[in-house]
Amino acid sequence: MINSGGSNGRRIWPVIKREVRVKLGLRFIITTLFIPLVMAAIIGTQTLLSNLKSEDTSIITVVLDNNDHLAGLIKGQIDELENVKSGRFKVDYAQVGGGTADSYVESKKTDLLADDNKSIFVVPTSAQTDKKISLYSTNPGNVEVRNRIGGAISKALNLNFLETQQIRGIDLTFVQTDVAIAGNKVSAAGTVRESWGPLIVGGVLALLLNLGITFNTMPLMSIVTAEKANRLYEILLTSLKPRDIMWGKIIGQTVIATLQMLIWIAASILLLLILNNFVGVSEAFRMELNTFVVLYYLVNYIVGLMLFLTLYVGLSSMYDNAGAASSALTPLYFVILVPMYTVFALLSNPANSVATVLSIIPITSLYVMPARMTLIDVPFWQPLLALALNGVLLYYANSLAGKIYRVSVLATGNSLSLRKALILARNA
Amino acid sequence: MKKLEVRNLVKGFGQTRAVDGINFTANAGQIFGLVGRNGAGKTTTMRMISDIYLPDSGEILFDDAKRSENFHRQVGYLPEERGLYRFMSVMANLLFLAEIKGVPPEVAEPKALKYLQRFDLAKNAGSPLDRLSKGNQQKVQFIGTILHEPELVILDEPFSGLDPVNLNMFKDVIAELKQSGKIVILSAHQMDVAEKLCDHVALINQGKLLLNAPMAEIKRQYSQSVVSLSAEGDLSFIGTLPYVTSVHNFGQQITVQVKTNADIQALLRDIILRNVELKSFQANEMSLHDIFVSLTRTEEERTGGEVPKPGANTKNTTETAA
Repeated sequence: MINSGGSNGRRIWPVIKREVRVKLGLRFIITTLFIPLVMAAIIGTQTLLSNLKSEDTSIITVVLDNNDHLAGLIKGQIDELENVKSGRFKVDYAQVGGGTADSYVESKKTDLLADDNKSIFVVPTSAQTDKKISLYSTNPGNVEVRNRIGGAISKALNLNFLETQQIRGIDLTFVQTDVAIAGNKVSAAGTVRESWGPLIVGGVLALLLNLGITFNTMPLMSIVTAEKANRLYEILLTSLKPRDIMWGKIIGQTVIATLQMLIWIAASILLLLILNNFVGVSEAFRMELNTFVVLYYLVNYIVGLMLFLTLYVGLSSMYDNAGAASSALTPLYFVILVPMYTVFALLSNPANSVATVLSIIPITSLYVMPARMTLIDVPFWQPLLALALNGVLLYYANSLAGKIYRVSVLATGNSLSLRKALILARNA
Repeated sequence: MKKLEVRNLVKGFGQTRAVDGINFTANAGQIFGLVGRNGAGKTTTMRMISDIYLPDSGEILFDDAKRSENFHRQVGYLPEERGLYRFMSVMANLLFLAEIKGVPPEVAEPKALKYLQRFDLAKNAGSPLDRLSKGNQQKVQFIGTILHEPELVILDEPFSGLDPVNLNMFKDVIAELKQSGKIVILSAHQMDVAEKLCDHVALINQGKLLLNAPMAEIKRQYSQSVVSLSAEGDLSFIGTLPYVTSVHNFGQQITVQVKTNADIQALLRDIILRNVELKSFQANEMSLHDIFVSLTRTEEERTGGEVPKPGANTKNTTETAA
């Protein structure tokens, strides 16, 4: 239908130049500064809210069967709690006869309904052997009350159990402390103490790719639909092949996105160096990246970005307004979002077979492989295979998007359906 | 001398044949007018010449050869539906258009400035295109079409939406392009402008070529035994005169076709005898507009909705221009 021809580097160059020049303006500066600030604000707010301690006083009743010894142990552990000492937890105790705890709770139901900060813990006799207790409150999700009081009761039950086994005078803190494992990462380059650094780096790299794709596909989609609505393509197509225009846009946007990502990484490294110099970064957060991982991440980022930009340009060319394109391309957004969460497969064991497969298959590998490479030594062929498979996918995605773009950019009237665009593309 | 040859050009969209076997040749130093009704196939033809669409069949030769990679640099195309980068400056738009045609910005900039001065837009060179009026945006697009000095200039409705002053400005530049030996192909709804500008006219109707001849020849051929007149009074009797073959009423003017040149005198005499106040009477003269209308009106439009039976005499039917 429309003349396709091959791409020509000399013709693409002005398009790339225009795309970069237009985007390297005030908006670029603002988004480069604004996005990390927004991200920091979101993470900061989340951290602040989750650590925010309520100043409300909690009124807690611990209901025990008639067992003075256990009651004494529980009271002793609860009295040691900081919240109790400070008066934020007001705890009283009730001892009831066997099997009457339920009717006690029922009798206090009106009190519980009247105050969200009131809770009743029921410790039945059976808890001495099965450690099962109950909590009644209009707000049983109050983590602080649940963990602190529950922890104190648990300690008392442990002590009670040890005493029944004739074991007395032991240091319960030691018994209840988990073993601390000092992990050491063994690699061909040597053995180093394990740290959280690589995990953080892996997560940040996945997030950066996701941000790069999300923040660059949407504007490009708007540009494509706007140019179609403006009938700009008729001018451009007298000088350029459709694929020249498409690739010019994709390369231009990729240059901008990569530059932005490099600025963010450079700023992060600078921040870490400053922190290290003035505050000192804990050994637990030590970060080490080798050149191969850095280069791989860079190429992987570019391939991933181009893959999604290609799909967005091709598919959005079927529409002449951003709203319609955005609605129609929503499923594609899930293709961006869902693979990022596959990075969690690494948390249990970065070397397990699920993580290995996810780090090789196209699209998920864009996120999983760089993260996995920061955690363990990956056989050399695996990242190269993952990159090659994504490259093949990019090639075919580009071929498909190019055909759709070619038949769609000059189409007027009702938006083309994907089916019709594909039929036209096949016949083009 | 460069020329553009269009041979048996065919282009279809689904079941519709937009262009159906069109042939013509446009020569350097000539303004070639493509005229026709809306949807006749003019824009599709221009898009195929500009290498935006590929023809289903037929060929387009430029300078006696198939269009090469270099052809894009030699063609300037102004589409009917204008479009430029609205948020880029006027100059940035022009330099980009020149650069995709292979002209570096440092070469294009002084030329662009000259054109902007000529079109009274120099002060707007740094302004975003969006801030310009529609007419001025059209001028920028026109400059962008010719800035790279193309050998073939294709203008699809270049005058639509222009005020008379700007229209004259465009006409002057188009005439200069012709004088400098460029091939200019244009389509226009303003038949009076096309009549004055074009050396050669091709009339397309429903994808087919109805006419393809020099303007002077068309006028000579279609103006034979034709009278264009304007008058005050009842002229309905004209359609009943035995030597009149058809009457076209264009409101201000009536075009009357008579059987022979000798009948022109008879017509003048009959009008005067009926005491009609004659304002103008031109023998053997028919405007391109009238030729266009008479050739492209469908049978239904000619009969006011009643399609005559085959063989029915349609003579003496008074018609009203659309």
